Order: sequence, then C-alpha cells, then structure tokens
Amino acid sequence: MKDWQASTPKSYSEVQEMILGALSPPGRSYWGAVILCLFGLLYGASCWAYQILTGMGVAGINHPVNWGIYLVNFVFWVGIAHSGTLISAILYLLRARWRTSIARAAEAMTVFAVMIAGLFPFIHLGRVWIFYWIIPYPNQRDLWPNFQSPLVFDFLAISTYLTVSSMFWYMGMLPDLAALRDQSTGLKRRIYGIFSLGWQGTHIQWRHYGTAYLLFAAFATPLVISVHSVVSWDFALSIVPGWHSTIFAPYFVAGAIHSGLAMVLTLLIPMRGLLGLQPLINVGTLESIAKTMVLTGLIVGYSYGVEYFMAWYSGNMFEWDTFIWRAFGHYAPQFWVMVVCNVAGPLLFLIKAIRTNLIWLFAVGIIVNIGMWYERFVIIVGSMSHEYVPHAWGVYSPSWVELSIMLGSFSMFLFLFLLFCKFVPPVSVFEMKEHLWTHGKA
Amino acid sequence: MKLLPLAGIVLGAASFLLGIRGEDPSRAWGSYLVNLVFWMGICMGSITWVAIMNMTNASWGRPLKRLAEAQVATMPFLWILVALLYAGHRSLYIWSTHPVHGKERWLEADFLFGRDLLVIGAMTLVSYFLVHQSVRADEEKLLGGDETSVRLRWRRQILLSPVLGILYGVGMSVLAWDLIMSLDPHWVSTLFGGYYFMGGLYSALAWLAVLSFLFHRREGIQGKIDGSVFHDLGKLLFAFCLVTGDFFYSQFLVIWYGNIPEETKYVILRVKTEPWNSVAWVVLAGAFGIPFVALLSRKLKMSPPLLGATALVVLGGMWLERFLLVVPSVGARGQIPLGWAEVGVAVGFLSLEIMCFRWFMERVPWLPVGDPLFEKRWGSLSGDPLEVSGHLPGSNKGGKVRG
Repeated sequence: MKDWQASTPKSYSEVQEMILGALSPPGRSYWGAVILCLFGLLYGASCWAYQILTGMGVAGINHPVNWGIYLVNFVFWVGIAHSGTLISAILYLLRARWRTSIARAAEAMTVFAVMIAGLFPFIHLGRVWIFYWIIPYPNQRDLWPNFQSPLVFDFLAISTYLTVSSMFWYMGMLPDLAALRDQSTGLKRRIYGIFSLGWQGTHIQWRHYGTAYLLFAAFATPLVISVHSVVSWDFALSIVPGWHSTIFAPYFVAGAIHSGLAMVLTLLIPMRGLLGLQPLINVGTLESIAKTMVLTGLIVGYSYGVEYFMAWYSGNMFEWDTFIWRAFGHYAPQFWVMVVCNVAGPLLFLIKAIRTNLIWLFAVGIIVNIGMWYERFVIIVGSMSHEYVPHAWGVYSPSWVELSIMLGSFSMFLFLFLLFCKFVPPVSVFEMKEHLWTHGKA
Repeated sequence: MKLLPLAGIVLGAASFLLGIRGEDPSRAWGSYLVNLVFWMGICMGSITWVAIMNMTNASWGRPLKRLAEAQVATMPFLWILVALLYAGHRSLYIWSTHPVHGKERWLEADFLFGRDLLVIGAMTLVSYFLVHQSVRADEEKLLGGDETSVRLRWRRQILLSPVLGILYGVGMSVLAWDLIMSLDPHWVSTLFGGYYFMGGLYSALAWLAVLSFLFHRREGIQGKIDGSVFHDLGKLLFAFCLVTGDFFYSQFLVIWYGNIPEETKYVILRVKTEPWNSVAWVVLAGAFGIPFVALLSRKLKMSPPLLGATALVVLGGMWLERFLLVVPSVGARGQIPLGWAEVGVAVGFLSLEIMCFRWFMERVPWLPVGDPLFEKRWGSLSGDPLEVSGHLPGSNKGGKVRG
C-alpha cells in the first residue's frame, strides 16, 4: 500500500496526466483480449441465430421449468447494473466522497450490464421477430399489451433505466471528452469534438452541468430501486411457492447491489493495475466497497432467514415443502453455494487484513458473483421445478446453446468494458480535481 | 414544569387502569400496545441512528448525537412495559386462548415474552454501552483527560455500532412478528419485520427533528445545529419517507396482485372496510403524502419550525399507522376506538419519554466534544465545560459533569 502512496497526484495537471495517460495506445495483449472477447461474443450471437433458425427446442427449457438460465442471466445482469447507479448517484447524494474515483467505471458497467440484460428477454422469446407487439402503440391488429402483466412493467422499467443511466453516464463525461479533444489532433480531435457537444468549460456551462448532474442523481436513485423491485415482482406477483413473497423487492435490490459491488471489485482491481491508476483508486476506496458489501451480504442473509422462518410460520405446506426441497433436494448444492458465497463470503471483510488485501478482495468479489448467479438460479429454477402438483415436478439442465449464449453475454460485457478502458477516461478527471481542491489530495 | 411529565404519566396510568377494569379490557391493552410499539421504534431507532452515523463516518449530524442518544434512558422502561404486557396477553392475542395448529410452541406466551424480553434486554444493554462510551469520552475530553482513553472510547463505539445495527434489524423483526403480526396469527408477510424497523428509524428521525427544533437555540449548542444540519436532517427524513412508502407499497402490491384470501383479508380489513379505511387514508397522507410534498422544498427543510412541524405530522401519521396495524386485529368493530382513554394512554407514554429525556440531558454534555468526527468539523470545544454541559431550561442542575 505504501509504495504507491508516495505517487499520489498533488496537482491538477498530475491528475489529468495520470487519467488521460491511461488512454495511451494499448499493447498487443490488450488487443488480444479484445479479440478473444469478440470471438466469445460472436460465438454467443451465432448460437442465438441457431436457436432462432432451429426453434426453442434447442434450449433446455421445457415444462415444468419454462424459465431457465436465460432469465437467470437476465436477473443477474440487471443486478450487476445496480452498483453503478448506487456509486454514481446514491453515494453522490450521500456525499460519500470515496466514490469519486470509481463512479465512471461503475456507471459504464451499469450501462453495459443493462444492455446485456435487455437482450435476454428477447433471447427467451419464442418468436423474437415480433417482439414489438409488446410495445403499446396503436396498430391495425388492435393488439395492446396487458398492462397488468409484470413483464410489461419490466419492459418499461428496464428501458427507462437504460435511457437514464446512459444519459447520466454520457453527461458526466462531457468535460472529460472536451479535455481529450483539446489535447488530441486530427481525426481523434474531430471525433472527441463531436462527442463533447461543444463543451468549452464556461461558467454558465458548469452551472448547468452541476444542476443537471444533481437532478440526474436524484432521478436515478428511485429509478434504480424501482428497476430491481419490478424485476422481483416478475416472480413475487405470482403465487408460485418460493416466489410469492412480500420481501422480494427490497431483498432483490440489496442482492443486486451486492452482486454489482462484487463485479466492481472483480473489474476494478485488475483495471487499476493495468492502467496505472492505483494512486486514484486506492485500497481505501476498495475497502469502502468491501464494508458496503458486508451490509448488503447481511441484508441478503436476513432475507434468506426470514423466508425460511415465514415458510414454516405460514403453515402453508407447499411453501414449506419448496423451501425444504431447496435446501435438500435436487438443487441443494446450488443452494448451499449460494448461502456460503453470498452470506459467509462477505463476512470475511469484517477482518481488516482481508478487506485491505487486493487478492482477498478480488477473490471474494468472484465468490459473490458466483453466489449471486446461483441465487437467481435457485429462485427461478428451484421454484418452477417443484410447484404444487407432484406429478408435474421435474428438473432442468441448461443445454449447450443456453450455456454458449451465457458465455457470449460475459464476453460481450468484457469486450465493451475493455473498449471503455481505452477510449474514454476511466476516472472522472474534473471530479478528481474537485476532490483535490476539497481534500488537498486526490 | 418539572412535575408536568409526572402528571402525564399518572394520567396515562389512570386511563389505562380504568380501561382494563372496564367493559372492554382489550381496548385498553390495544391502546397500550400501540404506544409501546410506537415508542420502541423511536427509542431503539434513535440509538441505531447514532450507530449508523458512527459506521458511515458521518460528521454532519454530530451536534444531534446527544439528542438522539437521550432515548437510551427510556429503554429500560420499555423493557418493563413489555414485561407488563404479559398480564394482558389473553385480552390481546387470540392464540393464547385458541392455540393455532402447528404454531403452538412458537406462539406460547412464556416463550414469546421470554424471547422478546431477551431481545429488548440485549438491545438495551448494547445501547447503554454505546452511549456510555460516547458520554464518558466527552466528559473526559471536557475535563482535559487522557487523549488515548478518549480515542479508545471512540474505537469501542465503532465496534459496538455494527453489533447494535444487526441486533436492531433482527430484534425489531422478532418483536414485530411477535407483538404485532401475531395479533392475526394466520396472516404472514415476509416484509413485515423490515417494514416495522424501517418505520422505527423514520419515526426516530422525525422525533429527532422535533427535538432539534426545540433545543437548537439552547445555550451551549446554539449555532451548532444550524440551517445546514436541518437541511441534511430534512433530506434524510425525506429519504426515509420514500423508503417507508416503498416498503408499504412493496408489501401491498404483492398481496393485492397475489389475491390469496388469507393474505388479502388483513389488507381489506384495513383499507377497504369501514371504519378503518378512513384511518388508512389519514395514515397515507400523514406518513407519506404530506411529508413527501413538504420535504421537497429546500426552504422548508432549512427552517427549524417548518421542519419540526412536518416531523410532527410524520409522527402523527406513524402513530396512527401503528394504531392501524394493532387495533383492527384486537377485535374492535363499528366505531374507531379513539377516545379520551386512548389520548390519556398516549399522553402517559409521551410523558414517560419526556421525563427520561430530561433526566438524561441534565446529566450529560450536550455536544459530543470527545467525538473525533465532531472535532473534525467543528473543532475542539474543550475550553469551557459549562459551555457544553447540560441543563435544560428551568433546571437547576446546570453544569454538572461527573468526574
């Protein structure tokens, strides 16, 4: 920790050089990683094309598990998207200054994750070429979506969230894009010039910018809570045992932030090392993320416990049987992976030596990511395979097509994030300067 | 003036005793339970708020720390009041006379009150240790004590804060299930515990806003609880207004959409059936609608009297919300059982809180001068012990600092 503390930037020019310096032309290994991810993405896309051409039969979903890992991935990626807004908007409103250096990257992660999440309902659709039937507009077929369906709430919530988080992210970058424009030449200057929307840094522009940023933050905060609440209601509004639960909305929101923060650790620890941003994204910042994860892990653990208690207390035999089956039935290994990874894993962060050690931080980040993916699997697949009628019980395994599309989604996420790291300032230059002004250090 | 709270307690006790000796003891016990769960939320929520501020390194609210900590003085009385509730469990809880199949052991009076007293006892003890460390640190600082000891006490507060936070979440959930949800033993909601403890934090913040308004001009702390602190307090109150509203809606929507009779009957009784539906609308306005609109205004948040008035509306709304959770399940039909007897019991509980608050604040420094976060923002105030140590208007115990 001490070795890089000495190089903490002390002036505005040092901050600017350090961040914009991270955008220097990348080496072969970077392009190798980009191409590898692109291949993964293309492979996933071709598997989707294969599914469209062949039919949904190539996926493992069938009665009684009609929602398989496509929707597991959908919920997983929407969850990943939550930390960006937590960090860039909620922590901004709470004046938690440690978020400054990671807000940009986390917000980028949000935008990419929502884009990927938004693809999965389409991948899951039987006839994706008529997806626009769900959009409420007057048409000659007199088709109107059922507004009481949570799937329509979902469509509206996700598209609103994608719009707002993209705008929030892009608007936050304007001053930095202008700074990039000013120090580049030729075609690069023209491209950055277009994207910086004529930003000159005048007093009036800054005033408008400050107001807009605050308004966006205030608008994004309830929105982010609503998005995962609506996702949770895709399940909770039904009467399927294990799904119909009033705690689902806050439980899903806490779980989403949990997984999102884990993903921030997973991506930012390598990123800061590769781009030389250790003095800005320091161990103190990562420690704050770890402490927040202890809280979200405890909320998730509380929700698991309460669900079990209430399943027993309700006296509802279907509910109780579902929960017993979760812990000891076919999907018991996934269930216990979920509990250990999501609840016990982050509790390691109660030890200061662990939450200030990069290897541990990275490892627990990965563990929680795995746990949160399995949480969605246990909820979605676990409940559908064991509903009310015993003769309709059945288990599900994802097919190679489903797993390939999932691989494609991870590849797409990493592909977009790698491009982000080298084409856009990964840390907000002007906010770090502001931080330097307020605190005397970046 | 000093005897006024005592008179209020006597009035409350008399109203309650007359009630339980009257025709309908369950009405008096219902009123007792409403006030008990309301003040439990405020008192335990207040200390938990301090713990949250400690854990998040929040320096803005440090001048409010002692006003929030004062609620620890009421907690032992709440423990006694829960113990006294045991005497009325047959009037209140239908499971005590008609055991529910499958829940006979969980909903059994001795076990239920035993665990609840354990939970409140644990919360009271941890709160006491937390506040004790905080107060002692300030006293040592004022008397020019050892800096190492002051720092050690802060370290202990940092260690105790998460313990209290966890205890609050789990403990208040158990209390909510046992004391409120089990009034209707066939009804369940997984969010109910969270809904109750979030409401407790919301009420605690509103109570703190009222206290801040009442005492912000008091000699010694004058100028410390300024417009910016009120502004932040208002913003936090607004955030909790949204969270409480969100929790209500999350619970309501799932039950409404699921449309399962054993779940909907609880909600239908309260929001669709006379006479409770009118109370439900008042609760919605008082606990959510009015504060939501009012707290959007920055001017209002920065004005102590206006923020105090809004907080009073919140407290009224939250009291009625607790009333709506408890009383319809106790068996009241026809008219809303809200008369002079209920006002008397409410006055009794309020007076108890005021008496405990006064007792506490007369004995401690009003500003947390030994708190490093206070010092970080407001600088050291250790010059004159009398300047920051306590006496309430009308009290003759000013400046008393224990050695």
